[in-house]
Amino acid sequence: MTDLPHVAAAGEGPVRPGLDGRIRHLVSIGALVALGDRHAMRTYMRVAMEAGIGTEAVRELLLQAVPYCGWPRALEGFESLGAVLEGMAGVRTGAHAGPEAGGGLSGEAYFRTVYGAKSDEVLSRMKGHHPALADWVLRHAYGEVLARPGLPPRVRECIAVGMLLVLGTQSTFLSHLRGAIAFGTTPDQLREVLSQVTLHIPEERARWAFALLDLLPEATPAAGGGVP
Amino acid sequence: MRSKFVHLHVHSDYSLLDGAAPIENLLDAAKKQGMDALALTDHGNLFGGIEFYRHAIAKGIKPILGCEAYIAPRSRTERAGNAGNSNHHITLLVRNDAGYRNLVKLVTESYLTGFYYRPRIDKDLLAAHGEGLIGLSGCLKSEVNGHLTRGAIQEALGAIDSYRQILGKENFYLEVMDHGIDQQRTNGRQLVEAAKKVGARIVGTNDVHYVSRDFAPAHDIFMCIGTGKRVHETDRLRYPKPEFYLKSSEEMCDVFRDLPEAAKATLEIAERCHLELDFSRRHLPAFPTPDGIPPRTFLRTLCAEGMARRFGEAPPPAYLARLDHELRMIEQMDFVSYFLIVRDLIQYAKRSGIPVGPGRGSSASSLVAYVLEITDVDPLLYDLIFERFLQPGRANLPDIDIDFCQEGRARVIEYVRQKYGADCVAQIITFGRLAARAAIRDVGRVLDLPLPLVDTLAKKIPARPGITLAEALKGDKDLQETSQQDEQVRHLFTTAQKLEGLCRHASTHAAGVVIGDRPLTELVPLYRNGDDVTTQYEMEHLEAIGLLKIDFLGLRTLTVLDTAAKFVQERTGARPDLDRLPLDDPETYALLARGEGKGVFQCESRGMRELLQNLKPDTFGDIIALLALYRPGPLEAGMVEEFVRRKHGQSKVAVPHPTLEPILRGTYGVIVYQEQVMRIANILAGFSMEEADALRKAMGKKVPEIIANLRERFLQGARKEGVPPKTAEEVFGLIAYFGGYGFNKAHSTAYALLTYRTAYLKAHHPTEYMAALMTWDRGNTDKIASAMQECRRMGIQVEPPDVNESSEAFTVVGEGRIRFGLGAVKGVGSRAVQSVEQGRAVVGRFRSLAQFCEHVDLRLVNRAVGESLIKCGAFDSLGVNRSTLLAGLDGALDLGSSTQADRAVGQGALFGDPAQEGGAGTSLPDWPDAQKLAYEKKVLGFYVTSHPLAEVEPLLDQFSSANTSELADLEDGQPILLGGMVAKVKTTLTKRGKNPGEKMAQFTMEDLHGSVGCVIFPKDYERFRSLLVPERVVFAQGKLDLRREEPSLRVSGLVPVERAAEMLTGKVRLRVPEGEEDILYRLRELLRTHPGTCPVVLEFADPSAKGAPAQVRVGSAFFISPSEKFLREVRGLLGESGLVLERDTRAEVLS
Repeated sequence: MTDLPHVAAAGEGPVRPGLDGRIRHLVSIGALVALGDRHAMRTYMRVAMEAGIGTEAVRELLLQAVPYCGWPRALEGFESLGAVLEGMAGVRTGAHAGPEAGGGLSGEAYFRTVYGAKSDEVLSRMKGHHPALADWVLRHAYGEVLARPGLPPRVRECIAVGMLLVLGTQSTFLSHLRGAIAFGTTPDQLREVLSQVTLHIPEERARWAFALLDLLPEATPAAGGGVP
Repeated sequence: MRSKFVHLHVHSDYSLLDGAAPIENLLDAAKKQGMDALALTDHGNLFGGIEFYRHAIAKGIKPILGCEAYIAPRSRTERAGNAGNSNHHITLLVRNDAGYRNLVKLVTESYLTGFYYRPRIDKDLLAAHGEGLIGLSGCLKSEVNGHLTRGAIQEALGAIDSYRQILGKENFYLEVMDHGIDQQRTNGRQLVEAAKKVGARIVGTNDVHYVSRDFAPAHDIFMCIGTGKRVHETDRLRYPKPEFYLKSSEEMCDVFRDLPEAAKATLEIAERCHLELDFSRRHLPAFPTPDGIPPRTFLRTLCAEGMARRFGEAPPPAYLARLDHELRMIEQMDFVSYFLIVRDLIQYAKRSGIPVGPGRGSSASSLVAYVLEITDVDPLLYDLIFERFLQPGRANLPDIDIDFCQEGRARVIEYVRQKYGADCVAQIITFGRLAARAAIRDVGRVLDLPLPLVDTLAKKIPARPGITLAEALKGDKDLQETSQQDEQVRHLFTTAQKLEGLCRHASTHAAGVVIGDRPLTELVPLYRNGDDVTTQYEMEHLEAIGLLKIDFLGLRTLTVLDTAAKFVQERTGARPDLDRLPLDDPETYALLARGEGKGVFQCESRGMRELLQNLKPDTFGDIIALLALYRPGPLEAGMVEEFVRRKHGQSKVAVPHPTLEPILRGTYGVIVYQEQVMRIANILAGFSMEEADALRKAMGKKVPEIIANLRERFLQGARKEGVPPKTAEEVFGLIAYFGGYGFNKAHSTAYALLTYRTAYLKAHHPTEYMAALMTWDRGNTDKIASAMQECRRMGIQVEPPDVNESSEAFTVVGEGRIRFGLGAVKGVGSRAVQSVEQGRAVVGRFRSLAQFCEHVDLRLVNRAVGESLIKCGAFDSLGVNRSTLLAGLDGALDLGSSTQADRAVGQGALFGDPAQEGGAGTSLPDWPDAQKLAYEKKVLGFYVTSHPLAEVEPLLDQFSSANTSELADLEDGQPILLGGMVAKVKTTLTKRGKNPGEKMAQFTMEDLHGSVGCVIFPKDYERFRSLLVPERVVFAQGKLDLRREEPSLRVSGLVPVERAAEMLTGKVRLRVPEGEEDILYRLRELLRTHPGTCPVVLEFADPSAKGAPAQVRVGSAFFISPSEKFLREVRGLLGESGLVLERDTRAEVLS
């Protein structure tokens, strides 16, 4: 069957050590939403929910896909989820919201954690592009979506990294790589996040992403400590 | 008179380098001593007349104007004898108005027609203009005393008689002085006898040259400064006794205790002298209107026409109202003629093709000036306030300053002379005064202190114009201590402080021209300074006596713009209309935002270019603000950074009250202009524009008491306007903070137009603009070097002179190609260039050296000129190499001269047509490039075809903290790393210090922008001597020394260029192209294989996108060593532009 590799990958990935299996599931689903592969998306969603990921967590992920991948992709995701749930009628899915409870951060605080010292510069640059853009990003993307309590920021950032790597938008990828670290993800965990996505992207991009992660000072041990 | 004695023989410091008493000090001392009257009798002039008169009146002292005139023994036009015997002194005092007018004529004539060593009158002239004057027979150098000293009593009596006849018996007094000098006493007794004999009166004077007795030693030093002597020299002019001061009445009565009538006569003379100068009248010439139309009507007609020209047939109502308001004010204040006169001379300039600036100073606030085309700034468009320029409360004449093209300025002055009469027009005098630093140097020299000591002390005084020694001492503890270090130095400082500020010399004001309604000699004494005739009164005093003054400034930028426009026209057939450029041209703003300010008006300095890059101006308003902000005050106050942040949305634009929004919108809420202060006061606190102008002035001067009063008035006014008190307080606080730094927006706006025009031409016609710039900088080697460097950067080729293409100055010979002028070649004069051009006109194009020699005047284009032309490449277009041409030069000259001789006797060329022969004989190998360049440098002063440093230019740019053309803009003592070529090394031995006799060196560093002198001291010299070889390319590290006229470097280390990257890189910036994903992976491997300590920053940039690239400063495990191999490999991966080395900014990299 055509969905065998996906089933295999979806089933295999989450059991690797180094990253919470539930995050692996969500990162994979996010990457596939970004990619727009409906077939694989459904397979992964089904496997994830069978493994205990709650519907609400997936729905949160799909809402998050709106600012990152655009609402058409998000809509595809919701439709896929609907189909999966239909097919799974009667099957017990995970009751918990996601890997852990989250939220409690305002949209702007979330934004400033991701962009750190560069926050004002980034905002100013966005204002320069279009005054409404900065407002939209802060108020809607961060304020109304990312700051929602459904998923913790650390998980959302891992999902974002996956989505952006698929999209190949380099500077936003870089920003969220740092955002993930700022919210407590370790470089090794991030390597796992990247590994989770490499199946769905060209080889050059995968190498690029790993190289970039290595080069980040946050990811590098102090001088003399050797390079992983 | 209450006092018992009046001083009638008094010199101020306007008796240049002789008198040492400032007028103010004399009057203060007189006042303190209770004197009711005081005379001023400077040597041969009336320089201080009005200043003395006005200050005396203000202090309640009766001023007696006068002059210690020089009188020629015979006719004043007869030039015989020496400085000592070609003139006598005589004291003249003004008795009444007629006397004043006569004295003005006398001192004028003395300068214009009687000058021989001194400005001299003669007895005929005195007879013609003696009415209203009182004469005193004078000091020991007078005619009468001269005879008495020689024992020639009869001649003395004859002289007395002649003066009595000229001035009237009752108006000539025999002057006795007693400074304790024997000769004076002897002559005094004889004068008393003579007085009895002829029935004349005696008067006693003291020859005052300084204010108090204790000033005598300082005065003696001042005399030495004037005569170039040292104080210990015996053979010099000196005042024998310390008695030449402003003695009290009691002291004077004591001096003349045996001759009481001498003191009494001073009172009588003072009573008889009564002069009332009229400061209320204005001597504006009436403008000759056509057909005798009344001036007001004429002005209104011109304005109506101008309105139609500027705004079409239906100007907006706001403009009509403003025009009417301005015209009413101008009429009410009687300035109609003034505007007509200024308009007329500007029209003349424009008619005659003399470029005129778009405006200058506050006159750009006037709509009348705009419609009359006096200015090019629409004041309503930029919210410029007329009252900043003219208002009823202001008694003095408004100032319309005009910039003219440097070349045409003299022609405009000549036009004014012709129009209003040469005798009604003059330039204006200005006085050079002894400044703080100069005082230390001059006094130090006179006291014979060691030169290095004086030099060190002088350099400790900041080089700020207008600084006083007291201020310098106050601001510098170290200097205070130094100034007390020993008796000698203490003496130096106390004396210099006494002498600083005294007048030293007279010269011509750079811009001012005065126009009178009658011959100026009826109003003001004149002075001759070389070829210039100037007034004897300074600017402010001329205004006081009602004379119209216009500043005619010469501005080179206008000449450059005009020349550039001509070049464009020559090449394209269309001349850019600089007056009507669109002010929203994106390319112009892009050029400015890139910081490419070299050659752009007021944007040349390094600081300004950096500011341009930070601000990225994109509106004309930004340029106006830039010019207003780039000054020490706003820079130090942090206003500039705040402005930049606000523009880019990085800092909040806060406007404390909504009504201020339209006023402050254009400057992002920062108060940049005085006009904004005025507008805020007007709108928020109901100030009238006149009051608002007073507030503006007070903010500039920062007088706490005045500001406190205005604050009260402001808060009250704001309350009435319904503004909450807290807001009013806040706004006033803002005004007080920013307002003090506020700049005249009218001036900024007018000048911003020039900035814009120059930037526009540079952006759209770069070749023509740079050629024009170089044409007018051609006398300045460093500026040309800098412009050539800018051309190189811009991709414009500057080519050596060419006998087939060049004219005298720079020429545009094609898109991106500028030819050096033949005039730039050393030893080639204008006439030689003309001869080449004439020859070229005959043959069309020179085809050989021999043909060239046949068709130019060989007396002008001689062998030396020919050799220089060959060496600089001017014959390269003949297709023969330079060494071959030089070898054939003598032959070509012989051939040329014999052909010319044959032609002169009517024969054709006996040896055929030299043009066909190819000129030189056998072809020789060309000189090596280095030699060619060396010759170019020798003959032109520049490397033209290439530059030995061109190859390493990127490296020099990367690591130099400044280039030579930027040093003057930096701070004294600043650490500098400068890359360039070593030239002119001169080793010397130290004379002083711990180990005298050690080797050190002075050398020059040349870069692509110019050169700078350097010095390296023994310890460092020893370490780096192997690199101090001419033409060696190195980086010199050292400290900047700005204490002399030219910047120099004290070098502490040298780095050879080939090791620069390795030793000087502080950070490596790698530009990783976005989208090429494989590169980053390979780059990581590359970084891994070159481990080191140099940080690496990755930039992920889409080169076509705006804005800052995303950056990653890599982890320390990936720091590298910037070896040659690494750089090569990185360039291979990322391309040349993918690698930027950043200089290590630590101050002492080499230590």
